[in-house]
Amino acid sequence: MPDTTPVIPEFITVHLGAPNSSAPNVRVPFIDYIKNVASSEIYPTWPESALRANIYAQISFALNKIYTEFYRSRGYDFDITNTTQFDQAYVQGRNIFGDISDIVDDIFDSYLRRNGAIEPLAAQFCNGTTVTCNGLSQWGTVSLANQGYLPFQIIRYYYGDDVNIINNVPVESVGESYPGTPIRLGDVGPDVQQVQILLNAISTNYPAIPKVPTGAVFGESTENAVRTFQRIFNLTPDGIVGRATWYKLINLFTGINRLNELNARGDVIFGLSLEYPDALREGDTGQGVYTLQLMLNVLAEYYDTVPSVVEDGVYGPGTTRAVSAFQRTYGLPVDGVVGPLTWESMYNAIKGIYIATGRSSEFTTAPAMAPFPGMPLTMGTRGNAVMTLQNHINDVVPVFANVPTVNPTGNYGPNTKAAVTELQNRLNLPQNGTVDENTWNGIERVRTQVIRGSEAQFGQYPGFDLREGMQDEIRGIAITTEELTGRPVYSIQYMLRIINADRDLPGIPDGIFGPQTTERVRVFQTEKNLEPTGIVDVVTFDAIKIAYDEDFFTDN
Amino acid sequence: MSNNYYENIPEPQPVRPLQTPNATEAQPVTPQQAPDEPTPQAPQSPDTSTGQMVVSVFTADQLYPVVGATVTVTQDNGSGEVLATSNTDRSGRTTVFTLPAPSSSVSQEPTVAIPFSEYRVTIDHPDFLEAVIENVQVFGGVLTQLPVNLVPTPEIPNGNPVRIVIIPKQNL
Repeated sequence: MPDTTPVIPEFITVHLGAPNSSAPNVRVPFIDYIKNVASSEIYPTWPESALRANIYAQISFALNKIYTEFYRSRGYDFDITNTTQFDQAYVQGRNIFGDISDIVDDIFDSYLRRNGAIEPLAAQFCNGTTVTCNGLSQWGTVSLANQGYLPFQIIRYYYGDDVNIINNVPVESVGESYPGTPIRLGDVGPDVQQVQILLNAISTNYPAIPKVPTGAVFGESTENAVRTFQRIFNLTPDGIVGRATWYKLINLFTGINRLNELNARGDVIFGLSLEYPDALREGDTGQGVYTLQLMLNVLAEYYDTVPSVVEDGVYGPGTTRAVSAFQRTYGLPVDGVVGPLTWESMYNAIKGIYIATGRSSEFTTAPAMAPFPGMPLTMGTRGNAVMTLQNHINDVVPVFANVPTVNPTGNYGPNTKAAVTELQNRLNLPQNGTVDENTWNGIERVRTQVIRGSEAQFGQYPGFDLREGMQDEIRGIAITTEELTGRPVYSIQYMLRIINADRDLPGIPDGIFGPQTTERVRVFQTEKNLEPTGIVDVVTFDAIKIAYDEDFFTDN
Repeated sequence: MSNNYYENIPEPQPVRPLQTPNATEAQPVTPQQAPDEPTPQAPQSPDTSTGQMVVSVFTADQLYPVVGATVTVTQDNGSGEVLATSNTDRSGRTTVFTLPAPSSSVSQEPTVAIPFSEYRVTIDHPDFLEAVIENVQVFGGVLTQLPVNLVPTPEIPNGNPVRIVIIPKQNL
C-alpha cells in the first residue's frame, strides 16, 4: 500500500462483471461513477442526511479499492467491479437522480478515514433487511435521519466514533488544480480569465453557451454562461465555479483538445489510405502498428468499452487488450489479432464517426496552425520563428494557471525556456525546454482552440453588446451560416431579415451596424416587449435567435 | 418565406455539425414546457404523484452534443404507449418530461411494492446507432437525469453492437 495521501482520481476503471469474467472495462469520471453508484444502490427520495451518509460510504469504499490497489495488485487491469457480491452496484448507461447528483457535486472530494489510518475507510454497507453486515445499514440510515441524525452522526453510529470525514481532498487532473475557493460574480484575476477562456473554448462545441469577454472580471455575462454550462451538464445552476464545475470545465477542455489533436493526425493518416496492411499481432512494430494505435485511440473516444493505447508503434499487451475489447464490442471472434474482418470493422466504424461528426465541414472553419519551422528552437535561437513562438505562448498562458508570459523579443532566453518547460508539463510532453515539433504543435493546438473559442458562431451571443457604429472585421457575402462565425453584426442583420421576410423592408446584410439596423432592432424589441434601446444585448440577442429559429424552421 | 428584396444574395444555408435538417431548439410534443422550467407538480393523491425526466444526448463522452435526436418515452409494461417525445436542442437536451410516479412516501420504508415507475427510452438519430434504455426509474417529486452517449453508425454496419441498457432494481 502506498503511504502518500489519497487523492480523488479523475477517472475510475470499472469491470462490468465478476473479477474473473471476460466482461468489458469502462473508464468513468469519478464524479459520474459515484452518482451512478448512489442511484443504483439507494432511493433518491430518502432524507438528505441519509443520502449524504450513504454517499460518503460509497466514495470511501471506491477510494479504498483504488488506494490499496486491491485489484491492480492482483494483476487485474481495473480498479473495481460493478458486482455487489464483491463491490458496489454500478450500471453503465443508467439514469441518475437530480437530488443525488447535487449532493455528489458537493461532497465528491471527501472520504471517511479512521483515526491513525492513511487510507480511505473500507466502508462496508448492506441493505439492513434481507442482508445485514458489520457496517452501515442502508435502511437504517433512513430511520436515523428521521430521528434527526446528521450525516457524520450516522457515519459514526455505524463505523465508530474514531471515523472522520476528510474534506477538500485534492483532485487528480491533467496539470490543473482547483484555485481553492469558488470563483463567482465580482471576482477579478487570472482564475477568472482562465474560466472565461475555458467556457469560450467549450462553447465552440456547445453554442448555447454565450461567448464571454475574457477581461479577467467575473461579470453577469460570465455568470450567465456558467449557468448555461451547468444546466447542460446537470450541475447545480448557481453561476458559481465550485469544484465540480471547475473539474467539468477542465475535463471538457482537455478532452476537446485531445480530440482535435487526434483528428488532426487522423486527417493526415486516414486521408491517405486505410488499406488493410496484412495481419497485425502482438510483437509487430512499425507504421502499420502506429496507424492501428491511432485508429484505436479515435475509437476509444466514442466507444466506452474500448481503452486508449500508447502510440509507440509497438504492438504490446496494451494494444492486444484494446483490439480484444473492440472485437468483443463488435461481436467478432476475440483473439487480439487484427485480421481483415477486424480491420474492416474498425475502418467502417471510423468512417461512421467522421460522417456523424461532420469532420470535413468542421475542419474548414478551424484557423490554420502556424507550421513548425523545421528546426527545433532552443536556448540561444534567434529570429522570427522565436518571435512567433513567444507571441503564441502569450496567447495560451491564460489557459493555464502559473505559466509566465514572455517578452516577444525574438531571442530564446531563460524566460522563454521556463515558459516552454512549464507548458510541456501541462501538455504531458517531455520537459526539456526545447521546442521540437511535438511541443510546437501542442502549443499551436491549444492556441487554435482559444482563438476558435473567442469567435461566436452563427446564433451565438458574441460576448459583447452590438450597437450602432460597430462593424464586423470579416466582410463580404456569406453562403452558409458556418461562414458567419466571427461575424456577429451580419448574423443579426441576417436573422432580422428572415424574421421580417414577409414585410416590405429595404436594406441588405452588410456587417455594418448603421441607423437602419438600430431601427430594425428597436422595432423588434418593441414587438417583443423589450426595452427599445436599439442595442443587441444578450437578452435581445437570444430573443432574435428564438424568433429566427421559429420562422426558419416553420418555413422549411 | 418570401425573399422579395435580396434575390441577388445567395441564401445562407444552415450547416451545423450533428444536426438534422429539422432540428431546432427542443420541440416539446408532450408536455409543453421549456427545459429549465419544471412544471408545478400535479395535485397528489396519497400514493400517486409525478416525477420528471430530462435526457441529454452526447457523443464522444460528452465532448459533442447530439442535436436533433428524437427521444421517445414509452410505458415499460409492453403496451408501447408513447408518453412523451422531444427532439434534442443544440445542447443535446430534451424538454423536461413530467411522468406518473408513485409518491415519495412509498419509498421511505421497505415494501413489496416497487416505489418508482419504469419507462423505456429510445434515442434515434440518422447518424448514430439507436440507443434503448429500459426500466428508467422515475420517483415522485424527483428529477431523473438520463445522460446518453451515442455511437456513430459504422459506414457499412457489420455486427453492430447492440446499444440496450436494462436497469436493474436497487437491492433494497
